[in-house]
Amino acid sequence: MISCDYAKQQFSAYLDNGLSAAEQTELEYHLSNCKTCSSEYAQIVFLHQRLHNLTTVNTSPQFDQILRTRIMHDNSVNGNSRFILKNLYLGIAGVTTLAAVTFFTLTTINEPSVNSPGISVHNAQTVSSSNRSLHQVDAQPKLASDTQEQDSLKLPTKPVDQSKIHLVGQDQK
Amino acid sequence: MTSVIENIQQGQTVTDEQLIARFQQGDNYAFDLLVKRYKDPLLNFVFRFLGNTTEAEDVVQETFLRLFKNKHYYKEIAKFSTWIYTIAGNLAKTELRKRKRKKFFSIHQHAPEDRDFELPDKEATPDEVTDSQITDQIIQEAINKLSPKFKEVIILRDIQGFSYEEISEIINVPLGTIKSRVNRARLKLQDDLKSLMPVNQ
Repeated sequence: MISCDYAKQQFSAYLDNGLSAAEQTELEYHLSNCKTCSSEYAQIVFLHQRLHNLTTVNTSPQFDQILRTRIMHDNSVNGNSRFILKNLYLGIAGVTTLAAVTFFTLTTINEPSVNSPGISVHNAQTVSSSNRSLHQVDAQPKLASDTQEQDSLKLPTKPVDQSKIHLVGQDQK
Repeated sequence: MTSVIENIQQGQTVTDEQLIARFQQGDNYAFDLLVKRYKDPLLNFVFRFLGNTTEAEDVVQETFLRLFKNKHYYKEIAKFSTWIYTIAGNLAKTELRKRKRKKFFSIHQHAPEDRDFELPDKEATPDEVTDSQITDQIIQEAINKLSPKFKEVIILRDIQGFSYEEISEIINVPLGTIKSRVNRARLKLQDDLKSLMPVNQ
């Protein structure tokens, strides 16, 4: 005869018709001769039936509505995050472009222009100032010659003829 | 291909696999039918696992939400029922782990469940109803004490009525292990519930 421990291991399989014919015969023989195992097996059967007949629970009446809301909310959240991500990419692209354009513009403006020999006196001040800024960057010692250059561009002052000056009070006299 | 509604109108039984196929093609009515079919069985499975209807309902909601979002992950190599139970079981186990962490960090006990046993049997007398509710509660407490690996197999086998092969698919564990776990879970429950057992059995 099989041992009680071995019989216990077979209970589930016996209950679920999972034993071979030989195993089934062995167990049935043991159960008919062992009161303890027979009682234990009866309890397993009772428990199995009791579990099967446990009170069932049902979903709340709002279950479908809540589910629908959650699905819609989930979709809208996903939609919003996609929208935010798309805008973020566009924003980054825009800022990068703007920075590139600004950098290009600034470097182009500050670049030293090729000095043509015939610069008119009319533009002298502008040229002079742009040259000065360049010189400030390039080398300080050139400042002295810059001053001379600026001075040379000044027209010589004519002496004033004192006899041609008529003061307001003198004509009436 | 005829629509799900046409099949139902013609009195034909639409299988779960047909419904999920229709849903994968964009037919949301098929999704509604799957929810209708599975919401209560799944709730009972998760409720027995967690022992709390509110949390169980939330897990079932999350299961259907996952189904809605990941419908294309389902392949017809598996039965739809095993697939949806796998999702629900995994979510329930995650919930159980979260609860353990919460318990670890909090001294507060969970509030007693108030909706667990509110379904009186119309044919039973008040005394019988009370007895039945108390018995159910005692059994549920014994189930709660089982470790998750024993709990899930006993729920799937004895309460939900799945075959060993189906349980093996759902929890992705070999058949022999499932059989062994079911046997051990039954013996453990039988030992814990001696007080409920009829005398002279």
